Amino acid sequence: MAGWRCSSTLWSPSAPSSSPPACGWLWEDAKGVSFAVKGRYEARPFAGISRRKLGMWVFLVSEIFFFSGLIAAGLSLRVNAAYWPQPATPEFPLNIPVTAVNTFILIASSFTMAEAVHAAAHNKPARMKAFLLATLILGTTFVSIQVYEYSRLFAEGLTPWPRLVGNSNIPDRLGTFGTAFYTQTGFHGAHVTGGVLALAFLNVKAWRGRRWATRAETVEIVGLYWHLVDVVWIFLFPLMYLIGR
Amino acid sequence: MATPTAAASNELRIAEELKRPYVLVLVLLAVVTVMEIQVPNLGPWFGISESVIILLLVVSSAAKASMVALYYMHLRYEPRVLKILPVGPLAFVVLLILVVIAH
Repeated sequence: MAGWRCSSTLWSPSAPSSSPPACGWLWEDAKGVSFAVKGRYEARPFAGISRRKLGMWVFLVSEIFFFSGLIAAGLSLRVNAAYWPQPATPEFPLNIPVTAVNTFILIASSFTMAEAVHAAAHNKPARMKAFLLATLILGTTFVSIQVYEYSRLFAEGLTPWPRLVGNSNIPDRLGTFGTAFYTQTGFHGAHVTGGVLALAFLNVKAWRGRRWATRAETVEIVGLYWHLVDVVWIFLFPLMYLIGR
Repeated sequence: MATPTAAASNELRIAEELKRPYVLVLVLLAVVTVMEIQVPNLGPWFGISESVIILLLVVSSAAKASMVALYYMHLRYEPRVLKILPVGPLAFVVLLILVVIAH
């Protein structure tokens, strides 16, 4: 070790050239001193944020990753498909007006959810429960309309898999479109259904007078998830219904 | 489970910082959605190219999502560290889209 000098810094210009640059760091580390102490950092960057809420945000980040991958896969299918239907043409199989109404419903549900959080934060349980119920009704309506649309499309012959019977109003070349459509909207619909179940549970508990269910933080955490499915739909709707190729 | 202090401070923050234009955001979201629905129909009529229509729809969707995130999800009022948290995946989104475009 002769000739080496372990300075407290990572690398010191005054140190001999034979000194390993990490020497100081290793020495500090061996002494149990965090190297980050020397820089600008916060000991507890998430201080003041409740762990439940932080946990929900981390979960939402994972959901953003999931839907990003799903949408990118859909885009890849779209650009590589032999045929993709153009919106506003007779062959386009999706019902844009009905889904536009459904989009308004989901946006309105985000509004009622935000109002529910606001009411809970201002200790207005009656108002909070009313908005929570409204959110549940709007969410259920969204899912119901999507189920109706799926059943109509299935009846017309647009399926997520290659068609097994030839008797259909939908041309065979829409197979890739059907796969992309059902995969993306299906996963989104499953998430909305999960949100509806969470809202139903919260509604039951809140209307039964459970105190934890009327707390602002509880309502906010459920609301964060609900808003995320709204955000995902904000991108999916134009992607599947309004943009061709 | 959150510490009582953190939970209480969170509730207090929610209560204090709520001067939010919820109705205005709802109206804006609805108006932008109506515009989005009309763009594919009216675009060709006004001679707007398909790529410009796609760009308009992507920008309007991003604007709508930002409004929901900032006001309904309260990101605008959150500590900076929480604001940064959802930005990470956005880089992933951009990367994925660039890869798809490159192909």
